[in-house]
Amino acid sequence: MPQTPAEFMVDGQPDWLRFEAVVREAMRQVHPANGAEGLRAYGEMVGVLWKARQFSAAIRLEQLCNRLLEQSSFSLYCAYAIDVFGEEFAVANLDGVLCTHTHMVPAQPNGTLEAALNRSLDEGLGSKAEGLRILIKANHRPAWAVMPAAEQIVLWVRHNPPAQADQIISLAQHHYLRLQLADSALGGE
Amino acid sequence: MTNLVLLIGEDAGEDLSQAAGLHQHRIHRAGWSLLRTQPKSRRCSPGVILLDFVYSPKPAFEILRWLPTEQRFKEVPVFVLAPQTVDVSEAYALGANSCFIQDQAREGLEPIVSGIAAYASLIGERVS
Repeated sequence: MPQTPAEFMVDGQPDWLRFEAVVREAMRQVHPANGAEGLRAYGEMVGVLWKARQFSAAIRLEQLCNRLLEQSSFSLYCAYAIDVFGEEFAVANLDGVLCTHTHMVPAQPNGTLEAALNRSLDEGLGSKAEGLRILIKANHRPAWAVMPAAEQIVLWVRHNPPAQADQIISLAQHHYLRLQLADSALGGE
Repeated sequence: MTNLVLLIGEDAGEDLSQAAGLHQHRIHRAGWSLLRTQPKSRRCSPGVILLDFVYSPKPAFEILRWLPTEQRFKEVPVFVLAPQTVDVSEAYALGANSCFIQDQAREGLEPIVSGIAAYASLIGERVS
């Protein structure tokens, strides 16, 4: 697979012809006999572009990957280093990413983040938290990747901001760190 | 009027009228009439707009297009109740914050309306 985005970038955006040539050659090398059948690829470049804050280039690259996926039969996995508690984790930034994927998998699928967010909602909003949870669960966004409940909560709270959004997220981060520490301590016993 | 939910779909069926009636202190059921009759009023500044595609007094996408053109609604979250046949991606593209799909029987409407009333009551509050 390509080693740097420069291999397929033209004027700051991924170029289809270059991208296709580079990736097809890489696929041919690792799976020469059966084409792409059964191949699983990991796309690191989108994360590299995202980290460099080249958001539109990252989304464009995802679109090119999907174009390639339509023509070949392989599975593609991508990774983004995004702080779920950071302001960057917001609909305006992530819409393009979510529209170009089928599933979002959390980095730590142990339920800690969801527990921290629910605790934060309950502590911050009291009896009204349940009403918000109903809205978050019922919110329909068919163009997006299927995503875990915790990430849905963060995106919804940020996108439908009651005045307390920042406080809820920051309180959740506090609970999350404490739960992580508690988990580590239990694991170390 | 801050913190009030303006319901656009005032000729709603019994289900929505009933659900809204449970929160009448929070939900203004004649939302569209209010927007039409007091178009420039400062008082007409809701906390949330709830647009019901089924009972919208004019094509709902038209209303969604119009809302952002009014300065006073730019910051107001717009929630949409839509049947399964509606392409909600277009609603999101026009600025809807959340869309809630309703089947023909409109089951589960009451908890959603209650949730929206609870949400509206939170606007402007501080976390305890």
